[in-house]
Amino acid sequence: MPDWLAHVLFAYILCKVLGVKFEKFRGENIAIGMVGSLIPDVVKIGLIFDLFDIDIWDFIAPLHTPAGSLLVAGLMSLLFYDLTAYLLLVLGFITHYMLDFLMGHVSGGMPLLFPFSWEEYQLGLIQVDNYFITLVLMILAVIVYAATKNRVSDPS
Amino acid sequence: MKRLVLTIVLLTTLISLNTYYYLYHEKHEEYPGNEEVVEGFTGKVSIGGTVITVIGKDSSGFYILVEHGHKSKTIKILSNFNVEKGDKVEVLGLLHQDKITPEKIMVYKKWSYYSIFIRSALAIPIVAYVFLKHWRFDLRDMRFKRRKNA
Repeated sequence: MPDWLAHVLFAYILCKVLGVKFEKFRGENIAIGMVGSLIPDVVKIGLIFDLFDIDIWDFIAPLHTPAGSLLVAGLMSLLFYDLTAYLLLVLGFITHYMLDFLMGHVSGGMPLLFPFSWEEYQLGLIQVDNYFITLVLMILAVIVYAATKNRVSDPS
Repeated sequence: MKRLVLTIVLLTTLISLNTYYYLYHEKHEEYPGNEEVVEGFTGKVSIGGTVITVIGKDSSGFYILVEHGHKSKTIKILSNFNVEKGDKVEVLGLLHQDKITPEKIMVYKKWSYYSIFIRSALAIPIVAYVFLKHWRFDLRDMRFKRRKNA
């Protein structure tokens, strides 16, 4: 996984770009997309259990699969009033898997089709600790922010 | 009422999904990992650990500590890969007599590995700020509502 900053920035950039064309991706809805980008890493709750020497990783691992994320997004969307929140959370976590898909480990990958298939997928293009991707996304986020600022605030 | 039903359905499905994974994941693992290695498995494995000792330049290799829950095991990696104490290592290879001849190896420098957590921690206040700038939690309805003057 890249760091959370990369995930959040990627979701922000995507929402901002989509927001140029579609109103649903503007303003407060961007924030939901950014939260959604962290949904798969709900699995990191296992780190808290590690502190108490409780090993729950084998149980909570499906939280870092699209199927698990769909369910978590569903639960989170119940805290909002409309279906848009659910769609934005889904978009957010899709950006998460897009970035994670680029990562590489010595074996394995992500079981993207779980529970229908146990096959694991990874492209292996970027090492997990690579900070260059975060740096690029930070620059892109600033550019996108600057480029869209006037456009979105322009009432016409 | 509809919300309660949906919550129960989603939670039940999620717990079922997790249980299914917990019960069957070992059957579908491509290679045994840390869990099997600390239990004494030998053969082709894919493990991760922390470098604890680097052998001098005259003999190639280094030792990593492989952990799973309370248990741990020291494994020698037969490789002249440039590592330092504290680095994180992923290894795919043949384990025999607590030694691995790696087919594939990935090293994460200690500082680089821990910087992931620092960068991740930075994201939390950013997301919290952006989100709470636009949304507030209504305790009566137990839902987020748009702020009027965001």
